[in-house]
Amino acid sequence: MHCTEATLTLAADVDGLDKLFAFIGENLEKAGCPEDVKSRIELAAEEIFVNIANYSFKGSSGGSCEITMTTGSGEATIAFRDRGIPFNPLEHGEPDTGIALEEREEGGLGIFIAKRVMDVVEYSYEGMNHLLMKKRW
Amino acid sequence: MVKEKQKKQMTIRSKKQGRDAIVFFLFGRLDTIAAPRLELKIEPFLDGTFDITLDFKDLSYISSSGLHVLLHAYKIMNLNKRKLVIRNMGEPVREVFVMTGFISLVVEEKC
Repeated sequence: MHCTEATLTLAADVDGLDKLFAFIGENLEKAGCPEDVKSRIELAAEEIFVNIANYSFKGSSGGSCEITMTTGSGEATIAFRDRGIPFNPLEHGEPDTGIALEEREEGGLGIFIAKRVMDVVEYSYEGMNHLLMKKRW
Repeated sequence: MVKEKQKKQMTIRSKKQGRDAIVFFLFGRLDTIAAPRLELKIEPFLDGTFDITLDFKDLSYISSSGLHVLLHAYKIMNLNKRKLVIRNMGEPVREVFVMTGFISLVVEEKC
């Protein structure tokens, strides 16, 4: 099976989440991704996209996010690119999942989840924020 | 071109049990869009006069936004010495609770 690439551009706003789910779901179904893996990839994608919507364009509106998805045999790669404020979400503290929930700080949880469910989550900055994640099944 | 395949929006039903307990039934996906709706629904019952049960039987998905709503509710309920119980948690949702450690917060009721 050869690789298929698809691209979606969304306003960096959580309202675009349903479109993101539709895009990812459709491409994963075509690639024969099992339902449980699809659900985990959607979860990671939501966490990354919401993070971009909330932080990349803080204080300004009109930002957008380009999502490129490559699917091949038993594998999906999703890249998120935006021209917002340079920000590496992976550098920020992980929640301490060992301490009592009452004492936990809220935040950081979404990125933690994305890292847990995907095989690879990487960040780079090359004139824009570039978040790449991969999953095999 | 992406076909607009609309995911079903989460719906919430509730049922009072006596004067001081309420059950919320969640249907669908508790994502970032749905989380504020759950927050609005349970907020009036966080005043210390209710025990709350959340029935997850028909909940197929939860993200960190949903967990934050639950954590917020849990903190308030705990201060008020009230119970927040989750029941009928399905496997995909349980997986997220386990990986984040939220499972330790959950008082589970099997039924």
